[in-house]
Amino acid sequence: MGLREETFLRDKFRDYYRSHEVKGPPQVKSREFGIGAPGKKIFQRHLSFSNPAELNAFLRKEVPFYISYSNAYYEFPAGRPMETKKMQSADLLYEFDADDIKTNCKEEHDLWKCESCNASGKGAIEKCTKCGESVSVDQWFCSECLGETKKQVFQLLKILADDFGFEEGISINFSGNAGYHIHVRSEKVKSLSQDARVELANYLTATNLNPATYCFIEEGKTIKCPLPDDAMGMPKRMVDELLDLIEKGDSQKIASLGGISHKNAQQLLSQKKLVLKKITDEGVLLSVPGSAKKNSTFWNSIFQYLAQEIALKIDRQVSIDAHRIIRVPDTIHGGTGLLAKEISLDSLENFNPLDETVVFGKTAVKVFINKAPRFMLGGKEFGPFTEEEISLPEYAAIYLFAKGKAVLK
Amino acid sequence: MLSLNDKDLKFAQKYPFSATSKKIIKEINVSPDDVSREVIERAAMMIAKAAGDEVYLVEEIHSSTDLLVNEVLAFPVAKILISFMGKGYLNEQFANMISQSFLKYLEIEKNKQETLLDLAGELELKFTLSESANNGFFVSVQLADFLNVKLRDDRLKLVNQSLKKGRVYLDVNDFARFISAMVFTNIFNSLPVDTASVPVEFKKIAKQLQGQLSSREIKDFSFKTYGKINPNYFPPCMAEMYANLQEGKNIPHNARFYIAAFLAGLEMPASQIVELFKKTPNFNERTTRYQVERIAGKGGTKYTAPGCAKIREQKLCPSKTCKTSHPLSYYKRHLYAERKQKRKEQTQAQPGGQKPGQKQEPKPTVAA
Repeated sequence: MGLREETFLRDKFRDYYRSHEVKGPPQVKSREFGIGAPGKKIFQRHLSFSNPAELNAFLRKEVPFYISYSNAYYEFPAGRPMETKKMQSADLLYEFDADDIKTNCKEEHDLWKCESCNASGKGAIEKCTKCGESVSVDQWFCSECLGETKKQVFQLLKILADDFGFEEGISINFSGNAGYHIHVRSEKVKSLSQDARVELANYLTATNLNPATYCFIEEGKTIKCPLPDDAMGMPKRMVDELLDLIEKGDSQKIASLGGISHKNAQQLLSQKKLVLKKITDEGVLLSVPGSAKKNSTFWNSIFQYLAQEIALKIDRQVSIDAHRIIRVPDTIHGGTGLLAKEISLDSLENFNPLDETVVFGKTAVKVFINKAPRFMLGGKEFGPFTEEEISLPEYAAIYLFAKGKAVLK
Repeated sequence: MLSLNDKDLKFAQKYPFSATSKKIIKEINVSPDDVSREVIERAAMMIAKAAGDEVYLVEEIHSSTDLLVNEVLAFPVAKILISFMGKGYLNEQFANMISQSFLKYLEIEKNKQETLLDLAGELELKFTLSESANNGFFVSVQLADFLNVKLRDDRLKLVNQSLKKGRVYLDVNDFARFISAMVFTNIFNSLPVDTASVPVEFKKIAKQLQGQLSSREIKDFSFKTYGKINPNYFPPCMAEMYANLQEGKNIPHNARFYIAAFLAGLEMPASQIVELFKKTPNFNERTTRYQVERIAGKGGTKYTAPGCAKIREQKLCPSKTCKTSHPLSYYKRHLYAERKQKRKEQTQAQPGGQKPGQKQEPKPTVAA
């Protein structure tokens, strides 16, 4: 980002903070804050504010590109080193990012480039298809990948409530770029130890889940499964996922997942009703044709798949770290110019992040765009652009400046 | 006047982390200065077992009140000694030893479920008994309480539990595992204890014990707590088997097992027991070592020598006058009789106790 664009953005951000009051997290005075600049989300930590008014005054004066706060509550939030802060408790924090969730749309809007051999292509890959080196990916986000991310949020909320009993003090906000942040601020979670946070994260990500030992039990040639009506927690989710897989009846998929022939998968699915009935009424898995060993191998492969399917794609590090700092809700994300908007539970279903987080106006701004795929913002479609000079509504220009994809003309 | 009943004492001895044990220790009100040599020996044995990753099980024959009191006091004394040693890994091993011993004792309880519930109550765990038809679940506990313990056992990991609305549902076996984990956590978190007011003598003992543990003399130290094994106190049956082995005579297979279990019961190191078998015909060191170590509890189960009825039944009892019911009881009765006599002699040899009018400093008491 050039200096002109940075100044432009800073002026716009200042205008926003001057005309909007940021509520700040609960117990502002007990939180540590950190701020960032273009290219670096956090360059200064250990800041503290006595109250929301002080926080707002700071935002208006300093206009940071990013501002984050600690999920922890400290006696001395500005203390350094960390031990001197004296942690009192901490909220639970979960983060979902669209780039962690596999979606087909990435083939449309993401571009990878290999710095080693200069190869490039569409999609979000990790290793260069030509030389095998790590690649950099130019990531964009659309309603499809952000929609999938939102589904994960709903799944998380369901587990938090149904399994953990965490229904109070939940606050959700858009990250301002690629995903969602979920803050659990109830008293139930504040004193959870680091180990406890790891256990919760492992539960959500199905890490160390041992379905063959604790959920689907082999008794001789028979494999028993939890009764869907009686099961709770992970066993319940596993068996529900299994019912769904069988119900959909994709024989190719089942053959491939379970390592059996398509013919055998078809044979199993030809008795679909019986397979489902055996599970729901008796808690027994029907055998696939062949030996007991083949049957066991088949079902165990299916279990592994089910475990992956029910695993939430949370950022583990965020959820286990009690000293994390994360974007202050309702502040601007300096990498997009979008608002990290707090969303009520009721409005989450219909929330459209690429529309409802746009906070800047539509005044035309002349820009030069080097390269950008087609993208949606503020209810309007833009691009694709390749080395193009164009007038864009201010909010779209800000979006491209912040992403480093355009310059002022 | 103490009003200790054997039932509570036995419970406290088996479950030294329990509220019952703490209450008894408080009631006994022993100053660290007055802790007997026997208690320190038992505490050292506990630590040695912990350091060797073994469980610490005391057989039922330890039924006299004095011996039970010693066992109960050994737990806080062991914690003091470990705290003086200042080794983090030993804290963990000790907590682990007690938590594993708890499971072993629980296995042999007549009413496992009742004991579990009693202990859960003593540990102040809030739990709800499940309705009998509830999917085989025995109890449920609050998620926060569940997460408060160190979940080291894979089976206990949250991801492998059944959860509903902030409660974790456990069957009897998992509940036992959970209580064991809770015991581990409580003990581990309680270490090190404050040793500021403990006599310096304990520090010396801890140092000595540490030295022995470091030089891999764990077994020897355990052995020493009973003193050097004295074959003169062996009952006639074991004395005969022992003598035959020393002379290199072949003895029946069952007799070999009994004498090995008897000696292991006296904490004789496995290596010494193997040594005893060396003179027997067709001796195979590898096989003998394996069998002796299994008998001594390496596989998790420590075998005990059979009672006299069985020995008689198998025609291995050479005596018509021996009135004992168990070979170990015979040995220990004779051993303790000798120790009591020695203590009596020592007391008589010491010059007078506290003089009239002499003010005695209040002494700190041993706390659980």
